[in-house]
Amino acid sequence: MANENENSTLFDTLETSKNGNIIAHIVIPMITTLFFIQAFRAYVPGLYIAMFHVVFQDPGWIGSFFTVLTILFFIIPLFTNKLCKRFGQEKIYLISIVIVAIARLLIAAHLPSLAENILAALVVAFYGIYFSIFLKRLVQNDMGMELKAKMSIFSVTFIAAFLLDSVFRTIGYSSDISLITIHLNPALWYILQYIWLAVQVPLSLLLIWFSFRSRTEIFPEEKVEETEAMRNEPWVLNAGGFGMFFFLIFNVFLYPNAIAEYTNTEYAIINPIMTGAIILALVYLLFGKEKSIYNIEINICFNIILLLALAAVLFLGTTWPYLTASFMSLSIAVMFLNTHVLITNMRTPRKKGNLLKQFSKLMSYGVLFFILMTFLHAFTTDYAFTISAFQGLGPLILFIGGCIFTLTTLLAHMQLNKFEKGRSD
Amino acid sequence: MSLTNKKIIVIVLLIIPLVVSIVYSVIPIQVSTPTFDDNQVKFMTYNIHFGVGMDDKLDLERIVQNILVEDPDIIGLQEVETGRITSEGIDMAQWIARALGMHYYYYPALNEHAFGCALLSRYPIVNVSAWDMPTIIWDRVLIRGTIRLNNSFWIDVFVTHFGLSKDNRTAQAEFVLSKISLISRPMVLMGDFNLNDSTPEIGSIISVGGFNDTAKDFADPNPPGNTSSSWPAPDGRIDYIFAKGFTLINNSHVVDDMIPGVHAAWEYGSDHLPVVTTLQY
Repeated sequence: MANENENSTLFDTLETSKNGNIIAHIVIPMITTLFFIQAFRAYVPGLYIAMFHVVFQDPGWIGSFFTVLTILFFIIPLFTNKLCKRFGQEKIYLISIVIVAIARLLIAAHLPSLAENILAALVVAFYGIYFSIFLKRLVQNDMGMELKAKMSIFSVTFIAAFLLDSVFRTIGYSSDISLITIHLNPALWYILQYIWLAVQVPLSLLLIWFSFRSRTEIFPEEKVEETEAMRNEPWVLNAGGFGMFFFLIFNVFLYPNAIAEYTNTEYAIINPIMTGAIILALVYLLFGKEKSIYNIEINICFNIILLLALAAVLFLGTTWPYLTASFMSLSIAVMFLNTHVLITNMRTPRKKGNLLKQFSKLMSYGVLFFILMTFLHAFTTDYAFTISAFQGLGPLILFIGGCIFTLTTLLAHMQLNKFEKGRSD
Repeated sequence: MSLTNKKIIVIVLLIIPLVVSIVYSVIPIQVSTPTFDDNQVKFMTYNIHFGVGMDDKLDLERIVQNILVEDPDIIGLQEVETGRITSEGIDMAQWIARALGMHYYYYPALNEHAFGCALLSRYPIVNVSAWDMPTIIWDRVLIRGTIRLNNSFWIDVFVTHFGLSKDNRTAQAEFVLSKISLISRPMVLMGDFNLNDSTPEIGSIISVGGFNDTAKDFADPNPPGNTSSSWPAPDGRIDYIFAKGFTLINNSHVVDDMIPGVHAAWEYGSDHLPVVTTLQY
């Protein structure tokens, strides 16, 4: 039986299992993740502007101060367990989706910057709650499939959301299409900029409606066993890895134009390579054999590609531009496979604590690690003058982030294998 | 439905984004080149402040809207970024050029694209070059594009952004003068110089470089409008369009009302105002 599972693919498993629901298990997580990506990307410039840019609209420092305070929103997911105990998981699950959908809708309304930053932070925070509850239910619900397959479903939707985001950015020529007006007209622009708001309204409403309609798939009537079991893992390992994933991907790797500039290559060539790399990660998770996906030697080889790409940026610069750029683009696939390992490792049952706490820590601390590294990186560019020795060290900071990401992933992989081995013994 | 058919559907769904990516990546910018029949060219210089307006909002569309109000032929942009998280990873120069339907050339500052300059033109840019200017901190650049207005008439356009410290600016002014002294064609030098017009650096650009300060000369005897950089009203003139080799300044002004009836905080895409000059050749 074990061998049979190891040789099967996620696609085969989904085919044989009849308990999955496309809306609840694929569409909703994919759309909420897409909203999270868009809000996360919109949040950072707002925070950065509040902290660094010299602009003059704020009455004193109050507006900027409140924007910076929104960082505190990222600890909200850490209260998921308490909130669920008090109000029930189902209620909190639905509320978190409603807040994500409505906050994302209001971001499209071109509100003042402080309101926009608060809304973006709310999306990130409540996505963290949704993420924790959804993954916990995924682990615990009887879907007629192995745990690893269930986690792969989430990873596939997670990566698919990034693919969707990449398509939107491609159509918008490096900008998110949902942030730009369909037709630019100097006189009518002030009204035309709200066109996407009209598109976002039904999209958000559909997300809310589907969530309510399909909630029995996530919260079935039969009582599921609450596995509050076994081992207390160092969550910092997985959250550190997750934070480095956010740091690398949102700072450079998600933007083919950034890779093209770093390596002096053409956006028109790098963009399809990068899209292809995201698709490659999806194909690997969907059609790759389980024994390959969870093979640590293969994972080490993949991570060598990632480190080589970062080292090439650091040491080769533009000496071999297309080789470096291709490595960088392909390593985005490795990053997604690494997050899959990190998320899967978080679902191993613990001695103390519970899954909600584990998953919420992954998201909350991951985002905080991301902010820490991003601002460290900012001191190598715009604010290099404050510590002049930092100037130009951006690629080195990226490389260090890559090393932490690789190390945490491989350690998580070892833990995962050890746990699996212990379970089979 | 058979397993094979389902696999085919999934693979097709996955290939669609790749096809979209390839198609959109190879679509060239659609530029409708003017004819230059009237021998007039409208120039604009605009420090776009990374797309961040007076209301602290990042909005590149608003920048394009600001530019479209004047619809210039050749634009020099400063504080242009690409692929930085601080501006949602957008390739600003490419994005603005596509939105306006213009050829473009972008050159980043060495410090990871934070202070790049861009040259946009409705006329073909036939030759480009760029330099990293002498800088103590915060890299600054000078870019040059040779623009073909018609088959027999080409001009050179320089775009730059000087630094904030006095030492930087003095060295940078000397650097710019050393580069323009090599060129004999009609020339435009525009950008954010971070200097007011009574400074020796601006004086040397006019006297040694042989340029006209187009806004000042056109407004004379009145003072030209301020371009930067305080709220609620601009309090200094640090953005200039210098030119030589033209026959007449048809117009020059600071663009300070982009959307009539809309509050300035909402309509200004940057902490600078665009400067526009129309030259007759």
